[in-house]
Amino acid sequence: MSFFSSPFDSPSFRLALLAGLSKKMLGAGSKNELLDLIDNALSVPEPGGDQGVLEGLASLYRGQVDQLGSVFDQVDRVGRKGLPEVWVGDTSVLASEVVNAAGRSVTQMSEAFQGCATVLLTLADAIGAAQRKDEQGRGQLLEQKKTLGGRDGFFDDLHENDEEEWDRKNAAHFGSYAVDLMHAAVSDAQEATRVAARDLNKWAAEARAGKMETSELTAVDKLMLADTGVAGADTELNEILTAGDLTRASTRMDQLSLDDETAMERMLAKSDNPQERAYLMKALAAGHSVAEIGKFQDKIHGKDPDWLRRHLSPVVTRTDSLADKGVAPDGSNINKDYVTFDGQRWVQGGDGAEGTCVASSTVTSRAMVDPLYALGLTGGPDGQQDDPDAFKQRLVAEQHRLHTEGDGGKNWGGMGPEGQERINDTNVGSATGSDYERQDLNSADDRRAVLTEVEKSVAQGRPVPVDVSGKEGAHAMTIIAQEGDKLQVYNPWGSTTWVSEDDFINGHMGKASTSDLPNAYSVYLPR
Amino acid sequence: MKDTSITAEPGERFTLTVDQNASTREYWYLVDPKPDSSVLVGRGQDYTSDSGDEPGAGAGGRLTFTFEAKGKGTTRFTLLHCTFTTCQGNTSTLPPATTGPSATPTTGTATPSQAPERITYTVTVD
Repeated sequence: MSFFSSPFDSPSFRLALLAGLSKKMLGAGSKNELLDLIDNALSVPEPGGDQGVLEGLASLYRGQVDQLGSVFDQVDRVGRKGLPEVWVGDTSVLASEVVNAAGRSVTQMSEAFQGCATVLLTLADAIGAAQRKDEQGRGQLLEQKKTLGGRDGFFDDLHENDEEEWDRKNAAHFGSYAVDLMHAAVSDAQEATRVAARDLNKWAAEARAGKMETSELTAVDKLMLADTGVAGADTELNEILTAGDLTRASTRMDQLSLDDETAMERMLAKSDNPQERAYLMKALAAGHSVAEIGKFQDKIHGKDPDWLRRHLSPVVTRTDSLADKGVAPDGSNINKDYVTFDGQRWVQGGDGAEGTCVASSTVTSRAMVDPLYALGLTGGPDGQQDDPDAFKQRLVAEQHRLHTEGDGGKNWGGMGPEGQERINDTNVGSATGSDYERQDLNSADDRRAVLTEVEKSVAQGRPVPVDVSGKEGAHAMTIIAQEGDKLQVYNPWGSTTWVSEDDFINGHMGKASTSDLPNAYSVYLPR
Repeated sequence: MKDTSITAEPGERFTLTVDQNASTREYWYLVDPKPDSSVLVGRGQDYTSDSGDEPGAGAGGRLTFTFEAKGKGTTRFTLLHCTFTTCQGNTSTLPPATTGPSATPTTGTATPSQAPERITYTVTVD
């Protein structure tokens, strides 16, 4: 995963070394051997990190919150005064809508600074505690070393009387316990660091309007685009443009020819509502040409936001979806939602009966990142249909196409990892500008270690395929979002639910399917 | 499996193999009424994946039920066949609570009106 200049830089190395030393101490055959092991343990560096520096950073972040308070008051005052119906920005957004978006943005900024300050303080505390625990262990080791006294000379080393044996075994016992403390310190620091990275990455992904650096749009346009959610749902959980979308759309705007850029701005200005505008930019982020986007707009222009949502955004996340309502007898979460178009689920085989979970989850992933693709399935060739049976036929045909492309098994049964990686590259990675790489997970440690990258990817809007298994078979699903220590999983049975990091690490993934499929054995990381 | 009559000699073991797939929730269960144990007993079931050692996501496998004929006579056993649409809330070891239409509504979708398939086999031991 990363290059360490010294093996000690790797926490995994230190953990393995200390665990080994603790065990070896209990089995040491002589005083000299025990002294060697103690010296070995003492040579392991303490957990790194400067508590003071982290606390200073936290204060810096918290200091920003006060400044934002006055910004919010000013924006709020303007908003409440009432504004004339003025169009502003290059994409013609209503001034009043902008002010509201700005107000929300300031609040979010304030939350972000506050949140980051808390993350840093939590980390500072954890690092401090880990270092103290390590010091405690180290101190005890030194004491045992003193008790044992100097190394035996050649002849003394050959023979040990009962009292010497008792002293050695006693020292070994306490020494082993001390090394266990040092081990726990490394482990605590590592976990605290992982959690801090996760939360900071998430706040970074939330700093959305700033993802657009293009000068072709004004700050006002960017603010609105970043702030727009699907109609009729919690905005923060259902933003149309992901952080990755915003960055890619911005980059493409800069790369467009003058004609294309003008055409794009005209399309944006012509839009009836912020959702339409956001979907056009999403199409740009997915790599479509301006000509294609023009045809796309012809199909969606004039449609109400609800129509847009069901045709273009398969997954809608309810606010209460995050609540843990317990588990059903089959092991699945009671709190799950269904991904449907006009009542027809986005499900493998159209009715759940085909083993095309890999192909099907890939189809849904693509539909989530590419609104033209989604409309092709839901609305048909002219994009105007609203018929669940027609959708089902097109959905299944597309699942079959990908199943074949990935060299899936006969009778639509199963796909191997090489095919799974390939179809994700050509269908999803092509839209998000990523190259999918399979990462096998053989232990809880492997799964814990991969979480940081998984969470960062989904926070940016890049879905992460995950394969799960049990004694009775294997199945493919997709991790599509993250909030705090929870991961949202799409199951090609046509449902979404939230599982915890612990569920993922410790083999309780059955909550997203059934107890037959508890272990995540593979993920595909978009790089 | 059109032929549901089986003949066996006392002491003879025979197997019945069906398709099972955790990814499509296709499962089979041996259900009540149990066969007359003086004629026939069940000797367990075993699952092997189609995709061999490497788990191919979505690939199913074969579930084999083993039976042993005991003494002369005729009896029956019944297998319940569950699919994605005909059973809800079941797993490989947990049969469905109800064998009727779906208890979980999926807004708008026609709730499955099919009950899961039941196949009864008649075993004659002589």
